[in-house]
Amino acid sequence: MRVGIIGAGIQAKVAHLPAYSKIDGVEIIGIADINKKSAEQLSKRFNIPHVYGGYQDLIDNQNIDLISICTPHNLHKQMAIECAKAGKHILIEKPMVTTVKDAEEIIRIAKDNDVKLCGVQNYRFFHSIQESKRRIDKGRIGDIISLHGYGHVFQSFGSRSIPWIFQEGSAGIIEDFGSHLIDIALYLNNFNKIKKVFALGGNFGGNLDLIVHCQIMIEFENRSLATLDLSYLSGAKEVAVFIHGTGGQLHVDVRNDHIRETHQYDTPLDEIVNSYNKLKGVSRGVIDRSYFLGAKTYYLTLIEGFINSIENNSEIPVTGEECRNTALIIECALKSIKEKRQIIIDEKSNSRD
Amino acid sequence: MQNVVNLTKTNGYRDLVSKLSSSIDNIPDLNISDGHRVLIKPNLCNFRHPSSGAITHPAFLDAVLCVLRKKFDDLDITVIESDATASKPDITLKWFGFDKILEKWDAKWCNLSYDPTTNRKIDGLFFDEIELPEIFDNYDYYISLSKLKTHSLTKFTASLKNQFGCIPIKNKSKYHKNIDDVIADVNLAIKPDLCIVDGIISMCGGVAIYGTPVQSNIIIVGKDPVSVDAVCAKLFGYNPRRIGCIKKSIEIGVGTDKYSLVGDVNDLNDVKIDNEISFLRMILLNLGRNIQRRVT
Repeated sequence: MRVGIIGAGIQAKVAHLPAYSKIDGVEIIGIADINKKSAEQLSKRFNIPHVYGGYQDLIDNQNIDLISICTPHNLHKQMAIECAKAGKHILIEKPMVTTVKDAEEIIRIAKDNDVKLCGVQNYRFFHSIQESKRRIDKGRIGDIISLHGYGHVFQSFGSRSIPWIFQEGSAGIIEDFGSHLIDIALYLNNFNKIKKVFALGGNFGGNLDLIVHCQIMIEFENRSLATLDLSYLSGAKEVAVFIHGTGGQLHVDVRNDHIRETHQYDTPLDEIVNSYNKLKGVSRGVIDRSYFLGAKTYYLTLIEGFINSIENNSEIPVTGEECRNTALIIECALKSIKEKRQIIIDEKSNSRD
Repeated sequence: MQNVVNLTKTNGYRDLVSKLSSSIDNIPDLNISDGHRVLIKPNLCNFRHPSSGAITHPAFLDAVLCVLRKKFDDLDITVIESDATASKPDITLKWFGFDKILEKWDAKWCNLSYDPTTNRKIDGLFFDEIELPEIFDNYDYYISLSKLKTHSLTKFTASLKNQFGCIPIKNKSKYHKNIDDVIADVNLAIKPDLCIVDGIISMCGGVAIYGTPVQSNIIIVGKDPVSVDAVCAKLFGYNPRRIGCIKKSIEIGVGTDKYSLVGDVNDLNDVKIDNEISFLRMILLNLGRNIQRRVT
């Protein structure tokens, strides 16, 4: 598989390129960035033969099969469409786009040109999320009643690595970490159709027009509810999901790789077992370095899965349609905050694979 | 001849009617005829959602009524259950749409707790005389529609324990200290003619109403509640002779734990349910419940 990278920023440097470098049979052919100096630095570090100042030149390279788009999301649509028209398979950073219209256009053009499209929703590949999904699918907690997600992450204001988040008018945390938490909620709820979205949030009294904290509430067709609590402000580094079912509960500490499953009555024995399991999860994370690297660890799983889907025409790990549903919630949440009302989603706006 | 117990695998609640129909056909000498007055007792012991595995699933009752209506003419069917310490089945009935199912299949509903009672003399272990709803004086055929799940007091519950709900009083927990004797006595007083166990979503590892739902996809059918429960005990990995209510029921002549297995499962190990509750956890659960009861 011959790979090209658009964008020589932090995601390419710490996530995409290290992952591609570890996969047998992958050859990184070229890298493009408007800041050619950054691209050159990475080309030296990862032995990439071709460096371009414009992404169109990378797309024109006939030897490239797959392109990773690692740029700010407002540039994704145009780049993805051009990649698809040139017959390149596309791996696209999160959020793929932030409107349903843009997502559908990318999906349609990728389909018309017979190329595969995959989104980077790497949080769902955390062991704790995969194991939770397995337990939910097995029926261990019955039917899902509610899902509460917490995404409290630190982001250095004025960060040079991701300046797009802190631009005036940006959806801030909703587009940034929110897309991960939304994807987790949809994935665990088996991509059930979305009926209503209501959101509150804002800049927490600051003067910058930027969303730094918010809560998004979602009602699904199966009558289950989700609340997603997102913030840059608490200083916590907490990514957790509490799932309540008709037959039990799962408390998932995503980053520490720990699941606590309860069925009403707990005993001191359960507390001991849970403490042991938490210690085991943290130890496993320290050994495989996911405790320090966090979600970056799972780029390898995602990219290997995507390459496998291209080579063997198998299932795409994160489909364009799944990213479209994330975009639907982002779009509705922003509209809800702006218009201070719940957004009712019609049948036509829902989509499933 | 040994009691026939039918064990059949299902595909969730989807193909139930055909599976139930063939399971019932496998039981010899059913002794049910057109025009019979039939009582059906599901397990509606608490306000838990059917997907939790705590109560008989509405789809299960729907399928049983469908099979009965197809096989026999003019049955006068009444579905029965009583109030329990922590629940009112009239609410459960409405909440999960059991009432619509009864309407669909022209079946009546009777809350045993509001039915007049009569005393029946029995040669029991706990009771000499047991107070039972009058409806049990006027029926031809009685079907128990129990749920398969573990239980902190009786280790598991199926057909025998389902009969506990025939006692009309609300505060049944007062019998918990002598539960095995009481269960045996109720089965002696009113023994089901047919036992059907909903083991499609069973429940493991908890007390009566809280545990882990397990998609076990099986139904168990037989005439003798003791032999049906002996099969259920083995599915959870228990020796039937070490289950109090089975032992006591055999002792007073309710039935026998000898059975001949028919259906599409040749080896019980193929459908054995992963009963994850440990002996230590069971002790701790009971201890916790006792402390809680004393404090409150």
